[in-house]
Amino acid sequence: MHARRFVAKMLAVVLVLGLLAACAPAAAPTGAPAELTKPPVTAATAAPAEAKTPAAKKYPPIVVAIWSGPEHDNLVKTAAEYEKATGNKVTIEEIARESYHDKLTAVFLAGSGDYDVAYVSADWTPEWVKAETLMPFDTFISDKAVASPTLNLDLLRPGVDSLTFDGKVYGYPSEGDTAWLFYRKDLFEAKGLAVPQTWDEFLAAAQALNNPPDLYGALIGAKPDEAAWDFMHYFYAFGGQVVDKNWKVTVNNEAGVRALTFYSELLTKYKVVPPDVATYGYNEILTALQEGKVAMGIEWMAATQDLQDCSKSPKVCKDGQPQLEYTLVPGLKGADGKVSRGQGASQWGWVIPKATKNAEAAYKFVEWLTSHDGAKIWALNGGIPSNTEALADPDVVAKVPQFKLLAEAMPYRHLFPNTTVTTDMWNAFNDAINQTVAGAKTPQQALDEAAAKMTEALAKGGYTK
Amino acid sequence: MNRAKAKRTIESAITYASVILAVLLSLFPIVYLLVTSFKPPELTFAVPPVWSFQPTLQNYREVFAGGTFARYFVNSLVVALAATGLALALGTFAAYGFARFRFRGASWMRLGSLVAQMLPPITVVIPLYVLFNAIELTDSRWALIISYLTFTIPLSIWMMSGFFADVPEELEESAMIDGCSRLGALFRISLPLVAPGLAATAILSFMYAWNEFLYAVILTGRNSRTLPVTITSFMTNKAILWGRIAAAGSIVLVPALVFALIAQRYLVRGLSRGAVKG
Amino acid sequence: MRLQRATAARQGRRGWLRRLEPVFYIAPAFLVLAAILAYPLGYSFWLSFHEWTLRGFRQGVPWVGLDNYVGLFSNVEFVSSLRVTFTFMAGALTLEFLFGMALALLLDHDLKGRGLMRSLILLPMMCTNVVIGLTWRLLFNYNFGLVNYYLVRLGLAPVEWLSKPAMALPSVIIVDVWNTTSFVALLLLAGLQALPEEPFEAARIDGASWWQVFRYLTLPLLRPTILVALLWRIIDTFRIFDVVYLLTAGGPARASETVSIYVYRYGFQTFNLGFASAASYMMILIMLIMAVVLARLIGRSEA
Repeated sequence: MHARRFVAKMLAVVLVLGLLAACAPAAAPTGAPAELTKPPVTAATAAPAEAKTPAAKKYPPIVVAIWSGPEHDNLVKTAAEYEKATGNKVTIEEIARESYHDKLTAVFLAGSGDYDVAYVSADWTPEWVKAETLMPFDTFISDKAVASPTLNLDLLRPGVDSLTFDGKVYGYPSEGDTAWLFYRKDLFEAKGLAVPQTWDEFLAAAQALNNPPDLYGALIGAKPDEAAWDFMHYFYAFGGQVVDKNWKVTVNNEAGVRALTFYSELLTKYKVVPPDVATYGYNEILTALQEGKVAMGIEWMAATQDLQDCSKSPKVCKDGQPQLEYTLVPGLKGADGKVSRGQGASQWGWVIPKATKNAEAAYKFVEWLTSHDGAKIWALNGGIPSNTEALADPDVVAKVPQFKLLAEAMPYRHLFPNTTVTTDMWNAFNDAINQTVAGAKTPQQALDEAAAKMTEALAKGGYTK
Repeated sequence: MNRAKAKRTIESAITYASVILAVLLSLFPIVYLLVTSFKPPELTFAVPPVWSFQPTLQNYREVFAGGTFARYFVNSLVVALAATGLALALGTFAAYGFARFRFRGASWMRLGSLVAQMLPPITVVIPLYVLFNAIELTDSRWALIISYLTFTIPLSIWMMSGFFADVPEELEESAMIDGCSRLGALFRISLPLVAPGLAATAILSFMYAWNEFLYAVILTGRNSRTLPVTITSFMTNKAILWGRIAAAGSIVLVPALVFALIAQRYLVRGLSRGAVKG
Repeated sequence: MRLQRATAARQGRRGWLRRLEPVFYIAPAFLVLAAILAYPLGYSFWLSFHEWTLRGFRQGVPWVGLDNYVGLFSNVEFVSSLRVTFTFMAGALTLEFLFGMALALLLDHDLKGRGLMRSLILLPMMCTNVVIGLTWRLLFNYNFGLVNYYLVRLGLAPVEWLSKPAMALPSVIIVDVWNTTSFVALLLLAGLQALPEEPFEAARIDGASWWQVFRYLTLPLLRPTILVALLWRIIDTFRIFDVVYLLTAGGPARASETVSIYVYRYGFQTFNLGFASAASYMMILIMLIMAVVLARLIGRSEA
């Protein structure tokens, strides 16, 4: 009796609390100040002196959507500089990575004006453009009263090309990443090995340094959904091509098969990579390199800072000096002795949803972010902007030496074809890699299957008849 | 006499040992999580695992930095409580109706509510978003509460039906003959009797709502975000912040722990009164 | 009966009001459900008969009739995901009910501190799925995970839990068993405690062995409870998503790609919503069939 009455009272309390709480208005948007006062870490200071934006116009506050991670942290700092320079307010909404793409699509489709700017991967944009959910920039570019007098689209190439469709620009490029071959210079010196320039040298070095289970020569990242991001460096380096200029699928040609064979044999035949690479994505590769589990690894250049920071990667530092160095991804030695190179790339950018209520304000922010000033701050905060002027800025190069190598790597960068059916093609590609690495199919079989699916996808998308 | 006693002692010992083993197995990953949350992040991958280390609050500090985590905790709490409270009220009434009245189509309706619980969230989340956007409820707690009702109500109906079936009709009948209305009888007689059932349902409902992820990630924004979404924000493209995930995960466990400690008695007693006969 | 006659006498002329009584109780809940779900369910059902893609919907949303549904079963990957899901269900549920039954029997005794022990055992079920997936991903890590570390300490070889196709599904099963065995145990315990005393007294007096009591008395009497618990768990395991996605993302090479993950990846990430809706409704249909079959069994065993 006693207990029952207690329970009944408890329940009544819970119910009333719940209903009352639900009626309480959802917290008023006070998110902004909190987001922007994150503990500051060496915020860039170069900007204000150079921000000679001609008497910045007053714009209403805008909301920028970006996914969690270093790009978000960077944006917080960079946007703070924008606010200082122009007095225009920017609120940042951080969205979890896993469902970022789905959430953005839902928001765009619903015609919601919740976001004025969004940080997106270039290969997501064709579909959104086709669905008429993004705002073209051309009206702003051609409007002398809006566009900045220093606007120069050439500085944003080739990034901006991957955000241009049917001749219209739908976004400005931001992070443009590519990969390096990271190697342990101490281990290489100890064995008297030279830095590998070709795949043969790479394999030889991996085998020489291979010492399972403590140390593996190299690694690959064959995680479902992420394998293609890793394999693409090998694919393009071997001369592979996804489609030719007539949209005919060539992913299963000789170069492609050679690349996938080499990639998978690193695990299955030569065993120079850890046995669990089928679960490795960006993070696991980073961890393996940081923990000194592998002597070499191909990883996105965004990892360079973490890998060479002795407070973050103590195990691969000696006497406060980082032991991980980076170089270009190995190439193929041709019959003429010349090394032909290629490596994969990713391109991110800023777009404006059509449903925004503050289009001009949004455009001005994006324009500033990708201008020399904004991009420079972005780079000094650890980002990899796509403004070539900013990348060559002496202050930037002094702080981020790897940009020198990036300039050298520019001509070798290849982007996956940017189409409205890229996700389907990407899934097919990923699948082929997963199956091959798992030993379920031969490289030729897997790529043939992928090619069939890609061809079907391209036909559905109207790229071929 | 002695042999029987010895046999019982051995039985007891085996029983205790087995249960303790079960407890240890259940707790092991949770303890691991707690311990990791107090480790400096670099030690997460240390092999052999470091069990004695200088405990640090760094992860917790990082989780609370920016002041938004507390708000997300409150969001989760409010949403879960409201979804539970409303579902309990509506569902209990409906369950009472099913238990006391026989009418055509009753079993179909009950099956129908089961379908609502079977829904893969991915089917409805996009249309739901479009719907909420049309009535300007995006990024609000109410959007989430309403969405959660789609599984908390069926759960409540399902569970409470069995409990009411166990309460003999005669008790209510005698009250009504004495002049009580049916509603009065419900409140004064039946509800107190099914109180353990209400508790059990409330706990389960709260747990499902507290831990829900997919609806939360699509329907919430920076104002109404809940805890499961916050935890995944520590999985970025460039790093998995295990330290912070461990810290946030441990904090998220607290209400669960509280509920479990207080309420397991009611959960079992409640279930034993016939939820399983639902 | 007495009541009805008395009430009828009092409300003779208002008999129709009495017939509407159940509506008063049941309607609110169902009206709310209907209001929330009408549009999403209706729209996605409608979608499942059309071809709706992000890149194409502005040009039109053609009717394709049953093509989406029929296409599902000629789709090798969908069928394979069904197979994976049913394998997972069989493995997980068998283990959960075996261990759950054992645990329930153990907890049925008058143990000291049983309240505390029961609460602690309940904890895994209360954890957020996201946390469970990530924690076990750490534990199962080949190089740095605790599970392999202790295996090696015991002299065994480390296991490629998440990276070997053959081990991926077992790993997922292990995690699900850890997560919900206690819940199954609680449901069964509840059923046990509701059983009448007399048959057991009689059996004890007759000198029946423990196993005989269990097999011929406990199990049959517990059947309705077991079937209800089974129904509940079947619905949950069939739809499993978060934990598997965080552990293995359906890999390697699709070894652990359950139906939910398949639909998510090939329906939603590609924004092929017509196809995704059809697949989702197919999932509901399959679950309904299982539910109806089980419900019949429950009904029959209660009779």
